[in-house]
This record gives sequence, C-alpha cells and structure tokens, in this order.
Amino acid sequence: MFRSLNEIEHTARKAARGRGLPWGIADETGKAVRCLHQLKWDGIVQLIQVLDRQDVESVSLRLPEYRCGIWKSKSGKLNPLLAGPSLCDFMDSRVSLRVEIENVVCPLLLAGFLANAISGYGNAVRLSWSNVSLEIFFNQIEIHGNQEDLDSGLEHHVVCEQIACMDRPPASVQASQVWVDDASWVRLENYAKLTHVEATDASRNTGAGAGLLDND
Amino acid sequence: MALRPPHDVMRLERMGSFHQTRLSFMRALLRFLKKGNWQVERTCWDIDIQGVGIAIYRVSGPEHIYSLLCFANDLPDEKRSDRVIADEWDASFVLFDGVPAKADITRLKRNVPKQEAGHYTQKELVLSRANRSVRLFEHVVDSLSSGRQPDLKKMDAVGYLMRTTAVYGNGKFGISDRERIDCRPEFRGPFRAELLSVWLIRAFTVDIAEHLANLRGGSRAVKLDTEIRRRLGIGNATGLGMAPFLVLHPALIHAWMQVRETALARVRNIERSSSEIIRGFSILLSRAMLGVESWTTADPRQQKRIEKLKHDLIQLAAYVKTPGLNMPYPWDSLVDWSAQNLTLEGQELVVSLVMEPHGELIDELAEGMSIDESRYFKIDGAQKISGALEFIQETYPWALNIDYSDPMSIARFWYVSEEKLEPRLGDRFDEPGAEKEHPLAYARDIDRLYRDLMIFQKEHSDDPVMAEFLLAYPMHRHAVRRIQLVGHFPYAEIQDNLISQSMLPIDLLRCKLSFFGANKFDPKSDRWVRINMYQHAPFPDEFSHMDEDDWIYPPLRSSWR
Repeated sequence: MFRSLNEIEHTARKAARGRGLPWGIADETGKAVRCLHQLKWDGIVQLIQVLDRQDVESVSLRLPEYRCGIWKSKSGKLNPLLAGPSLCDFMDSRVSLRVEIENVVCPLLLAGFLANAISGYGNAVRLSWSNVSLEIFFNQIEIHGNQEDLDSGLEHHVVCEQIACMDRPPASVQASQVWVDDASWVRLENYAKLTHVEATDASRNTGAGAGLLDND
Repeated sequence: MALRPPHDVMRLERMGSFHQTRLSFMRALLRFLKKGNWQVERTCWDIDIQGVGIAIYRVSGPEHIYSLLCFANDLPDEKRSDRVIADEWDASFVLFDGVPAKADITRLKRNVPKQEAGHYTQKELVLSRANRSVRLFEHVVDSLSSGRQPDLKKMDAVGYLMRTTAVYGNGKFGISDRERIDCRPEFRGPFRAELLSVWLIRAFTVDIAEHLANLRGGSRAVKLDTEIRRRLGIGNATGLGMAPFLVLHPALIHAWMQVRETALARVRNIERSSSEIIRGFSILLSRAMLGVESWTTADPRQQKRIEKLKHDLIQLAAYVKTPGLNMPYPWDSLVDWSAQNLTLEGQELVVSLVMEPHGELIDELAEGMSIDESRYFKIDGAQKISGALEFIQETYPWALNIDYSDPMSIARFWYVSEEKLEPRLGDRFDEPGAEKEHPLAYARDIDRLYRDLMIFQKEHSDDPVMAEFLLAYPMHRHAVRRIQLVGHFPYAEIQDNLISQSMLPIDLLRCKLSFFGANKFDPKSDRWVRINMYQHAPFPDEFSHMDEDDWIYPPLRSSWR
C-alpha cells in the first residue's frame, strides 16, 4: 500500500522507541528511514531486520577507543541505530573524519542517517563495506560496486570517511508517497504499538471527554 | 521597543490566556484569498431528503484549484460522538488537489466516509469529518422549513450547526505530506490547507440545513438571513492530541511566538496615533465587549475568568476615555497599564486589540510563521560541554530549580493510549504505563542532562565535545537537540513543568487554538475544549463584496437591520 513519507517517519520512530531505543535516537531513526525511502531504498525492511535482532549493541562506551577511530561493541555486533547518529555528530566535530566500524548490522541504515544530516555544498561521506561503496550527499546516495552487498542482513566492517563534493547541487526530491509492502508495515506497526499504553478503567475515567455527554 | 521576554511570555498561565489576533491563521488565510481574488463555487450538489449524498466546492486561485468533497450521511443519534475513535459521522470531507475526475469521486466516496480506515493518494490534502449539533441543527432546519428564522438565543448559545471532530493533514493516513505543497503561496502559512477546508465545511453546514429545510417545507421554506447566517461558525472539539504539538515542534512555536511579539512591539513603538484610529479602537472595544458577553461556558474556572475579563473590559473602556491614547506612545502605555491592572485574560485581549487597527504595520508578519524545522534537527556535535553547561545554567534556571524528588513535580506522564491512539496524561503513581512515557517531560530531562554533563566534564579534563558525550549518553540526545535549538530560538520552550500535578493541559490547547484564530473557548474539563471557528466571517458567496478581515469581533447591535 502507498504510504506518505510522514507516516513512514512517524511509525519508524515509534517502532525504534517501542524496541527500547532512546527517544532522541528514535527521532533520528524515523528521519533516516524516511530518507532511505525517499531515495528509493526500503528503509523499513532494513529497520525491521535490526529491531528483530536481540544481539546488537551500542558501541562500547570508552572515549579513547572512539578517538583512535575504531568503533566496536563489547560483544561484537554493532547497532547502526546507535552508530548512525554518532557518525553524524562527529561529521561536525572533526575536520576530517575517518572511522572504522566493526561488525555493524544493516549498514545501509547508516547511509540514511548520514544522507539526512549532511547539508549544503562541499560536504559528503563515503561508506564502504565488502565490495560496495556509497557516496552520500545531501538527499543523494551514489552506489559503486556490488549492489548485492547493500542490503544483506549480515554484519560488515564499514569504513566511513569524509570526501569533498564541490559543485554538486542538492537533489530535488519530489516523492511524497512510496509503496510499502503490507507485511513489512504490519511488522513495523507491531513494534510501534509497543509505545502504546493499555487502557484501564482509571485511564478511561480521566481521559479527554470522559464522563461528559458528547452530543450537543 | 524590545520584545516581551520568553520568561514572561512562555509561561503556561499566560499562553492559556491568549486570544486570536489578526495574525491568526484563519484570518491570514482569508486575507490571502481575497488579495488573490480566489473564487469559490459549488459545482456539485446531490443530496437526498435523508441528507445523504455528495457536494463539491471548488476553490480557484491564480495557479491552483482545490475541491472540497463533502459526503453527507444519515447518522443515527446514538452513533454521534465527538470522540476521535468514532467510526461514523454526519458528514465527512476531503480537500482534493485539483478537480476530481469521476474515478476520483468514486474512489473517494468509498474511502472518505471511513476516514482513518480509508486509502488515500497524494492528491488528497486534508481529511475531516463533522457531526451535527443536536441542540441547533434540527431547530434551524425546522424553523427554516416553516418559513421562520431560527431563535437567536438558541443560535448564540451554540454558535454552529456542525462540529468537526478531527481535521487531518500532512501525510496522515497516506494523504499528501505538507512538504509536497508548502512551496505554493497559498499554503506557506501554517495549517492553511486545513483551515481552508474548515471554512468551506462551514459553508456546507449551512447549505445542507437550508437544503433539508427546503425539501421539508417546500414553498414555505426560507433561507437563513445573511446576517443571522454569519453568526454561525464551525464547532470543533479538541482534546489532548493537540497538546504535544507545541512541545514537539519547538522551532515552529518560536516562529509563531516571535511574530506575535514582534507585531506587538511594532505597535507599541508607534509614537502617535490619529484621532480616527483612537475612535476606531473605542468602537472595536465595544464590539469585543459584545463578543465577551456572548462567550458562555459551563466550566467554573473559565466562567470566573470571563467574569473577571468583563470587569477588565470595563476598566479598559474607562482608560480609553482618558487622554492616555492621545499621549506619546499610546499603545505602549496601554500595554504597560494593562500589565499593572488587568488579569492575564485581559492583558492578552489587550494584545489582540491593539494590533487590530494596525494591519498595514503588522499583517505582512503573518507570512513568516512557518519554518523548515528539518534545518534545525541536526545536533551540533562540536559544541563544547562547558558551553552547554553554561547555556543550561543561564537558560533553564526554572527547570533546574524544580525538586524532581517531590512526587508532585513528576505526578503525571504523557502517553499514547492503545485504545484510542491519542495522547493522554496519566498519573505516574496510580496508573500503569509510565515506562512508556512520551518525551514531553523536558524540564526533568534537561535537569538530568545537566547532571550527566557535569559528571562527564569532571571525568574528562580536556573539555570534550557533545559528540563524545552522546556516545556515552545516547539517552540524552532529545534533550541535547532541544537545548541547542533553544539557543537559536528563544521562544521555543514553554517554561513550565508539563508533568507537575498543578499543570493544566487546557492552557496548551488554548494557546494553539488561539493561533488558529479560534474563539469562544468552552472547556469541558481540564483536558478538552470546544471552540468556534470562523464565527461572523464572510461566507464564500459573499466574500467578494465583504470586508474579509472585519469579522472577528461581532458587529454592534446598532449596525443591525
């Protein structure tokens, strides 16, 4: 069924939160998934793959390891929903960013975060893993190499580096609705529903409009 | 003249006292339509004696055409409900981008009456539905069918024939995202497509009442007198669904507030006003008094406020008779006087009133009330932790001074109910679900951020940057984004604790609805409110020969026929 990009963003946001990610990360996840769909990639499928997994973790929490440019989790599998926003943060804080990220799951999601965050001219990032690399500009992603490596659910060693991209105008994006497979949507909504609170008699009695005559 | 500071304006108590102004969205929309010579015509009317069928209103501007498709229904009384979860309504509506083809009409007829459960395309811009007022609709149809005008007291006690129970835009349920149309001049202001729909829906509510009266009464039936007709607005019932919007769109709220405060500052900066302007202001005040006289509510808190407001207006009328307005900086003196002598309701009505005679000075500001929020979403990872701490100390003393160990300070939590899929406010210590709290507790969250920033700074002597802090503390990303945004937009933050026991959600609703241009706020609890929109505004069929902007305050009785 066709879904609006806003619906996709908001449902992905709630799904990420439903799976326990902090609200701020969930906000960014919604935008990353929206951005991927806007660029014709199925961000929802990627997101569900990550949310389905129990074994992905945040990056380890010690600063010196980040500063040496290699990011990894303690147990091995790295969550792109946590690594992606941080990559965007470091885009601004370092003149020339080069980070290696070990065993990141569904790395295409990293591209969604970066494509959404990069703005203006002269700012771009290259993500590389296996035999594929993505050059990411504002609202644009160019693929080089083997596209089959893009959306495999496996973990990959990803290299992220800033590159120059002078004289490239931002892409104009027109799509407002995209096709989303119904089965994927149901799975996404099931995660989103985890943010809802079950009604009780007490909540019904204090809810808006409760106990009052609606008809006038 | 400086703007009123955020710590004065951005308090719930004051925001909950706002009234519409000439910058409000529905007024700015009507000015825009008039300026562009937009035309409205009813291109289809196929409704039977049971009130079932379809009507289409076409709105044509210089570059675009829009169509409001209205699907009328014969709804049994017991199914009529304001609640957002109702699944059938007296009428359902869709604003369509362009002129619908037959296939579009067939498709929309199948889907629009289902509202949330229907399927939509990018051509659909706004989705809405409305129920008849049981108190008034039948009375008006009955009166007109018998050749009489309806009872004015009954008319004024309700003020509308139908109430919308939801108006959805911006991509909801698969309709068009706002981003697809916000480059069009007519939709540059906030909520323009939604409010265009509501204006047309108001016309439909009168048309269908007159139509049914005509079918029932035949040659005896009459139409509503045009001046009586103008007393009808369109009702709306608004619950907590609107409240989180003000918190979750801080940059946009700043834009609204800053424009409002800038307009006020421009007026206060006027050195002298002509006697004509002052005389006009005096008449306006009399009209505002009439409007307040007809403002009724069963809510005890609002009743008291209205009574005090009436007293405020008597004081204001006395002030206007003094030479005060003939002195230098008359409006500045008046605003200062109101701050000393009137209630918050009165002070904010003065804000609205002093803007009224000064359209030429301030109306252009209404075009600056939108903002591209996505430009300000990204976190500045290079921000120094020391700078962030300093900013929080300077900007958030009101949040840092709250004792969050006091249960009263954290008594509530905002959540979305599984049953209704709408925001609600729960009691943290008596109801389940606090672990699913939505991020509206920003005062508490910024206090937590501040404490962790202090710890992080102590652990790292080299003054690290925000990107490094957030690797260790990703749970603070939403609070960091918020403080960085407030650094750009001082009116972005409501400076109150939204989870305290004493917080009144109705204040949030009132603030937002005042920007829409609503009036006659009628709280039904501290969590939902009925309002009236477009009351006294021109109808589409009289728009070309009427003043499009002199309607918000009711006309003086002496000007009636």
